[in-house]
Amino acid sequence: MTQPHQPGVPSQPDASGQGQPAAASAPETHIDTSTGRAHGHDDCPQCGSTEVSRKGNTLSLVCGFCRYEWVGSRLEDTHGLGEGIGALEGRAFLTGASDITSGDDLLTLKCQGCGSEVVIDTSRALESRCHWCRSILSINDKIPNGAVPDGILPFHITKEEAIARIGEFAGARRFFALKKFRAEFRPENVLGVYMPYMTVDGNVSARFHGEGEIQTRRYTVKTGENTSTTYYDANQFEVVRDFDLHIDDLIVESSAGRSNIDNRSNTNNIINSLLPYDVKNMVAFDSNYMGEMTAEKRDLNIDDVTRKAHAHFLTMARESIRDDITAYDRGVRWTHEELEVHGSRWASVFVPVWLYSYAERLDNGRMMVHYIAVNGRHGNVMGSVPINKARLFGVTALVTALTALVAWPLGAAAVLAG
Amino acid sequence: MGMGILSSADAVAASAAVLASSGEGGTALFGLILFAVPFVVGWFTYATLYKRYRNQNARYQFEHTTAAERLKLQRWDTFVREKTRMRNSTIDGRNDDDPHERAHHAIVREAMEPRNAQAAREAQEPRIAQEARLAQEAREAQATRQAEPERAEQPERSDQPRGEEHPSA
Repeated sequence: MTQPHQPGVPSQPDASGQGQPAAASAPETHIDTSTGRAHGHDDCPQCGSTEVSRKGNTLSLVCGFCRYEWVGSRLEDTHGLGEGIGALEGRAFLTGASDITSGDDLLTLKCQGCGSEVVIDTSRALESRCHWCRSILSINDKIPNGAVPDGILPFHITKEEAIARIGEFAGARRFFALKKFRAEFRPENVLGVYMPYMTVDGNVSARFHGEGEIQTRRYTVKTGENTSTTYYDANQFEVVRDFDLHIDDLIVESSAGRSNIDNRSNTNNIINSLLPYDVKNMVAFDSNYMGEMTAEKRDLNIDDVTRKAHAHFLTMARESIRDDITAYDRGVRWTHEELEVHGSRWASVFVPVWLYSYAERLDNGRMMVHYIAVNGRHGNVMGSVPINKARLFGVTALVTALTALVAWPLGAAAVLAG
Repeated sequence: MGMGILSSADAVAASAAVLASSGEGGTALFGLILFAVPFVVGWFTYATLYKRYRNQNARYQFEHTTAAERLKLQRWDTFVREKTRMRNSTIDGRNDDDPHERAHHAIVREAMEPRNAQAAREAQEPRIAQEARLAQEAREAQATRQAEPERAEQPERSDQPRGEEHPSA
């Protein structure tokens, strides 16, 4: 611990708790990830077939006709997303994270094979098969409704693995599960979904100001025949910490439905708890990676999630300084905290989730959807199982009664003895 | 479940035995506490099982899992005073152990301009031209202008109502 040089003076505090990010005026830099390709056929570079799919669990794409293979490009490599965080100034964003300017989800494509028109609902899928000539039509570049991200993390966990993990998770929670849930539980109904998120790098500086105490003495004073009191002496310090923090790949929800985490009305926290993903490995978006999976469209812009991201930055800054104040064994009371975001870099990404859902009708008539979800990359599972409350209350009462059977006679004996 | 019940009952019995053997006072108070123990155990059982099934506390542990590099740390630790005979073992209002708990005054700002430009501006010398401008005498032209008679061709503004034409209240 250093001796005082000059106590830091934090700038004017904001009594409202947290300042509003000044979004509109921050300088912005656009990092172009558009492909320039027309929507429609996404041909095999070797033979021109549109029967392209992902090869197993790899990042390779393979032509189903001539078996030619190629690998998608990692965004970290092509756009240097993991580098230069300390040099970030203002906002930088990739094309896929640009503001949503269109609400049109339906896109009509002209099939290059037969000339017929095919409609794609981009809020759910980014590929469709022409019902006349059977060739596959794809969304090959960014569109202004937020449906196409910059990068994608393809599934690594297979459906069979996901079914096994969900079955194991629910199987360990059968006893207090709702009877109807147990009867209707079919893990094979699990669905693979690509969820939209944004990753954000931050170049921030933080300054914290507070008071800390170091204990110097602890002693017990006898205050009566059978009572005593413990007292503490301590030295009080004014504590200031000022530092820079380079944050790499914080993940924030970019779907309004998923970012509404309220345990009383939904179980979105379950999907949130699957984070983080290995976003360092995301590849440039190619709809061929999606296959049969559906996708949820991004409907939040950077301005909509900035406040949340900045609050996370501040929390991370507080967490990062904890190891430096351990000398204050009685703790620190931070009174002022200040965070300045010098620069940030935003990208949008699809991450894979295996999702099993069950709708429970609550006593008040509302529906509560319970999710059991599996991280499609490294397989950790989390879920919410609807509870048979009558059984839970019953067991709780039984435990209470049995404990009383032991504790109350002892208590009565002690009272009488006292 | 049976194991849990037995272990909690055993714990109650064991703690009672320890207290009884210690021979200390406060036995009556401990007896009263024992009356409350079953309700505490019941509440704990319910909360634990509910949490195991519903996982309402599950969330993204971003503050632990997101990579972050701390740089240019500066510290100021200034002795204020010695405090004695405090009853609490921790500082009043401690919040350093929960990074989610915001301090009373918290500010988050997004920089309006490049950081380097700001630093360079703060570091630069005051402008000589500004000092010279402040030091110079009033311009002669200004004095001349004030001495001139009002221009006759200046049109009178008609959109401004005259004071005496205002309707009286």
